[in-house]
Amino acid sequence: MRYILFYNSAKPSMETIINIQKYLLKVTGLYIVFKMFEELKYIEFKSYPFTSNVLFLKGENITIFKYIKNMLNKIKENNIVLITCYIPLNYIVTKKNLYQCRLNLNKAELYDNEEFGFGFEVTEAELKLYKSKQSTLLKKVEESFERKNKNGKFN
Amino acid sequence: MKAKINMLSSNKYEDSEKINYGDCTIIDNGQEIILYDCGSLEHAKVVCENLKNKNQRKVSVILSHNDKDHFEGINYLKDNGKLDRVYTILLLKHLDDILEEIDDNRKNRESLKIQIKKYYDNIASLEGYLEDVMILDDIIEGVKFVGPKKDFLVNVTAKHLDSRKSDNYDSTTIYNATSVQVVVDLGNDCKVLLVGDAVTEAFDEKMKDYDVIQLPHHGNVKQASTIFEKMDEYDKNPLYLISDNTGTDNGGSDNLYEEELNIGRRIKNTKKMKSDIVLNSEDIKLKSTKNLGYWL
Repeated sequence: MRYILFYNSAKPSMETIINIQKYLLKVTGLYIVFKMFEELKYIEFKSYPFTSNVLFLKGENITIFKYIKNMLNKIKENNIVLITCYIPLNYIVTKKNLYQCRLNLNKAELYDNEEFGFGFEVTEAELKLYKSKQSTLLKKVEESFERKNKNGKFN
Repeated sequence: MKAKINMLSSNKYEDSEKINYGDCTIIDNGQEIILYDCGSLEHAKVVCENLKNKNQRKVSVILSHNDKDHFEGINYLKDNGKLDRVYTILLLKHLDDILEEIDDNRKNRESLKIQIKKYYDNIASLEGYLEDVMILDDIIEGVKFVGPKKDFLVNVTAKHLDSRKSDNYDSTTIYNATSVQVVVDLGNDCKVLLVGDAVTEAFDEKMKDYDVIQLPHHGNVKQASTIFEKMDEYDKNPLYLISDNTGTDNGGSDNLYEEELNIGRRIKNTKKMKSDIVLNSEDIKLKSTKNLGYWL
């Protein structure tokens, strides 16, 4: 599992990063390590032991769109989870499963970091993922996010 | 004017970190105020200030149960001529049902009556002010009695009054277990469930219908975790309220945070916030703070 957090403005504080790490530990049940890519403005959280089945991408939609376009050939994960506003990816990503957090009028809304006690801003889908009692990460994703079919529409 | 509730915090009172000042929630339906419990003289004084501001001469109290930390301030209101009515469960009205449930020939109507008055002494001391909360449709406009159900009340209370059986129910006292539950309608389809110290079993059927749920017994971890589990099953994310002014009297909500059960829940807690919890229907709606990107 990898979880990449893109930031366009200020870099998240260490406290926020640790809170995300704790969140991912609870969701995956695996140790989580992180690496900062300051020039590229993202932080990559990786499970240990590493399993290459799910990639979460969280951040502004234009940044994620560019990342996928440039990096698609290097992405090993078969399941890409988009935590962002609407992105038209149906003609770009054709061989992988795409999941999207629930959108409100094409917008992915974040809740205040104090609201649910996570210490970082979450979407409703991430909240659901945290509470999911499914046995595997992929099943949790399937329960919490909406899957896009080959036409780019949600199942 | 909009309806609102104000769950009082003891943070401004002397030695609030040590002393248990109990619970008190001021319910304002837009026209008048009514209290849900009044656990200390200090809370009662705050209520008197509110009455002055509202231009209201007297106030009624919905008393959840007999315990001191829910009751104590009522005496101050009474002694100062500020108490109107006290809405609570009047067990003497269920005397025959309880007697039948106990089914012990050593007890009769008269001896049971004496026992109830002795066990429920705080409520008995309010004679002349008491109203049966269970028979009313609306206590005041927008405030409704919803539990406990009569069968549950009779069954559990009989256990308490039966000397052959335990005084506890699901690890809490019978007083707590049978707390009066009310629903406050704040308008805009927003309803708040107040449950005192009730056991979850007494209200779990109705939990899913509410946007705001008071966690019983000052955020007691056992009951809170049962409620969280049920609400997750219903896929609901209500706002939880905790009235924890317990000082060092009991653990209150502390264990909830130690076990990190608060994470993933919307919780407002008088102890954590160190302030009153004031809410109207707008405050309860979950609002997003920003979006992740642009709208393509």
